[in-house]
Amino acid sequence: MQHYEEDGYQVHKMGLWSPGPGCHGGCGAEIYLRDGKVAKVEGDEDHPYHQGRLCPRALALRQYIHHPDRLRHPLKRAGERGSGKWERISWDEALDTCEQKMRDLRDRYGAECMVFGQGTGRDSGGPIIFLAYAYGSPNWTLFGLSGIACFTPRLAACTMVMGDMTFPDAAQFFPLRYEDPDWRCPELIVSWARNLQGSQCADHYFSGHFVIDMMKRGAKLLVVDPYNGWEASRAELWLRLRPGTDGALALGMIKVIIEEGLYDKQFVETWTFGFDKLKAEVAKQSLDEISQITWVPTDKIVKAARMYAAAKPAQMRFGQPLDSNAEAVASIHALACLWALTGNIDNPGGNVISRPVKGVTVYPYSTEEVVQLYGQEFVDKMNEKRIGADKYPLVKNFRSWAMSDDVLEQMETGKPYPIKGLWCQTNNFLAGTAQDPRRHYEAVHRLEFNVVVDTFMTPTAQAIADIVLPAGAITEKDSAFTTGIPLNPIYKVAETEEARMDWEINFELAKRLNPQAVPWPNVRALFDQRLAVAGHSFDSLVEAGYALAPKGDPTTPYHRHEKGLLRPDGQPGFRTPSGKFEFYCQKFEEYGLNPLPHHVEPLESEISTPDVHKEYPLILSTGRRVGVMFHSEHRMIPWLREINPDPPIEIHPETAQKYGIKHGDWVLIEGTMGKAKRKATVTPLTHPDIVCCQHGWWIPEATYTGDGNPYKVWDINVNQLIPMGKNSKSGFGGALTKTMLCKISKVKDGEEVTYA
Amino acid sequence: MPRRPLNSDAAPSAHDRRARGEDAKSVNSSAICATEDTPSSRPACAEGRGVVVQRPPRQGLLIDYEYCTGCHSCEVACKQEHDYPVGKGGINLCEILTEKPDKTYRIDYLPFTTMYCDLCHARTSEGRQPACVKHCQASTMYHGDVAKLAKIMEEKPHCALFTPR
Repeated sequence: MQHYEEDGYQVHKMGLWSPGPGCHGGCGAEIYLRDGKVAKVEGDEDHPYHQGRLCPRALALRQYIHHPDRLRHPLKRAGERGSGKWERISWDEALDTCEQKMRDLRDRYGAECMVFGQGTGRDSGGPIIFLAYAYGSPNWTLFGLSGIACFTPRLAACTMVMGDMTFPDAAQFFPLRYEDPDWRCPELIVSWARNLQGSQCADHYFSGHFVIDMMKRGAKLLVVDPYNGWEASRAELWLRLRPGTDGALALGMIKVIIEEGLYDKQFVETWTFGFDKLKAEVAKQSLDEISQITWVPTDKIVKAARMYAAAKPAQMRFGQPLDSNAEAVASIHALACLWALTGNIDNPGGNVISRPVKGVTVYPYSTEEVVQLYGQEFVDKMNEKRIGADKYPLVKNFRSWAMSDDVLEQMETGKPYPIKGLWCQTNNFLAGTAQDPRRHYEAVHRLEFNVVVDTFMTPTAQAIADIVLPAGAITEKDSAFTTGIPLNPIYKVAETEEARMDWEINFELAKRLNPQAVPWPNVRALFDQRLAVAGHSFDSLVEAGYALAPKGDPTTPYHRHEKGLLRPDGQPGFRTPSGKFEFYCQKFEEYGLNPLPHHVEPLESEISTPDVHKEYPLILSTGRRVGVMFHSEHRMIPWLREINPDPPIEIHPETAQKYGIKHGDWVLIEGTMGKAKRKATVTPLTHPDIVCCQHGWWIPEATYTGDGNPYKVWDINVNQLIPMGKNSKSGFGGALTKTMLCKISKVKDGEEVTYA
Repeated sequence: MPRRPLNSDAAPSAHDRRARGEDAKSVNSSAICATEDTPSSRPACAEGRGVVVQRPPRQGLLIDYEYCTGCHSCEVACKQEHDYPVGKGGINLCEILTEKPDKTYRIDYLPFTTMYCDLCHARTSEGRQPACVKHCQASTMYHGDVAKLAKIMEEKPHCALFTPR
């Protein structure tokens, strides 16, 4: 029963994803309405993903939806850019203006002059590529994030070396979950760079608390993390590595597993390619050398390798910090080699291949999915002018996003062709997404026409927008969650004045700009077509509540490589040139990249720049997640801000004492690129040589006076210490959010950041 | 809390907790109201004045803090349920750091029931779980009769039992 009445409330069940909870989707919720307004949200106990559990952001949803600062009407600029002066306009005027300006730019410079930037991977991704392609621009991207260093490098590496992405198996593909007879509880869960508190709930195909479910069933923990987090405090073994050295550590474990003969000989023999080359590669470096690089004692590397190899099955979670390694794809390749060496791929309780249910795509993640939606010919045409496609083979062949670092550079230089406009939807790049945000601000400020679509007036909208369009929150939109498990419906049950769903905004504008690209009468008809491969219409998915593919389907585990369910030709094996997991990756070789996993030292470090290290002795690790806020969202939600009130820097007590800093002091952080201020949290959980910052901070309650510092971003945005343009050779990865060097001091009296 | 379909005649769905395994649950006996008669099976009261009025068993919250990850769902669930403002809540997450012999730290999170916890009487009287128990992401919370919670406590390594009034 998806809709019912209870105690005077009207209740609707749906999946959660995007504005409201933020997040990467997966869970199921009950939306309680009273008088047509969202009154409360509960977890849906009939939904298999969380069985009624719910995260704090979803539980605070009503404060988000009814927040007085929600954008409720379209706005146009009523003064200079950044003046803080706005005028309410009608949707007709807003869309007329967008249409006319975008047509004008297209006529003068070609459609490629307009960049369509999204933030992190949420359901707005689908409508953004839809609008960009209808308009004719190939330059859809995650605007601002160097090397698109969040999830994409992990996707890219896995897709190249084994043809698919994996997630740890928590029986999430089956409706019976842990009671499914085919599932096995892992003996060991490796949490590699994956802070559970920051990844506590729905995240594509996995949820942090699945770890707890499996610990209760007997799974032990092996944790790889510089930070003394909750999982580290519960682990059988904790490896406290130096940030940015994950690849080196993984190679050390590979070395032990190969040289001690601990690998799964049958799996390696049958299903892998290039074992001898990998063996020769890891023979080059001693464990003691690896220990020096990683800070992890040799005996712990050996112990970890033995523990992982002996556990049957074992699974590995691997997090965003890997995407920040200097050569991220190569580090992630090393981790994937560990799964293959131990036969923990698509086995019950191991790392299982994760594909959207029945192959439904609304928001295409890979070039393959883009081709599925738009056709090869069109995609080939887009690649002719896509920024970065000629420079990075992975951009051209794997993911259809333009490369963020090169987009910025092209905005500045106008070469090889000018960039004149930005469509910025659900991306608050000045507060969160972008490295070197000042460079982004100046580049975007010079463009001719900028549109921001969001739910609140963000620093980004305030600083650079000409038109601001109010987006609908989760309960105000139609969508379908297709970038994880299960396939969930999201549908409009309420309204906030004139806020409109992302799909409706982009659909309407696309129809005006290119009617031929929009043959559907309405958004739901488009969804009907895209959901058809799963045997659903939009309405039937709503009534079903969620959908999972049955066993035997290519999108459901296990052992699909043995059954010929992975490759397009129906043959056994993986979707790679050799049909096997490639320790030696032939695609990398074809693309001019190192075919073997390897470690590259961070741009700045005690090893690569000892002189810089002398002046800036601390490692700045930013992007630290916190479960009550998602990226740059939720700073204005009272119940959530109460829990996480200030933009912090975590400092070890010894380090704090050395620099004369006390808990609660404002701290100046300085690096080779710039500086920022943060409030000190003195805690023994961080390493003495590492300071940790959350990202995405702005102060929404600060009054904006048009002084060019909207909501204090230039005071507190720590990304000012991190460069653009240093992304990995593969293109993907290398946003140096975990490894830049810095020094700290207490700010002078009177220079503290105030929230007024 | 009867659930009536809005636009279908499907039967109300059971609160199916099959997949949650060792999960958060209510361990209440059915609510017992005191009655003053049927004395034969009741013990005499201390003053010897006759039969004891049987009262409903004391209710409590058991926290299995071995597995509490500090996610804050309990706090926000409580605020939503009771519409508590900032600064007021029925449950308050505490963080306890303990230095281990190897100089690393064990982290324990312990949600503490405050004077504003009413054990979600409005929910439990309808057979539903308290808001914090239902939404606890680590399924570490149990609600029910104190005596029964104490039995569960015997089998777990790190628990705390709260009996708010």
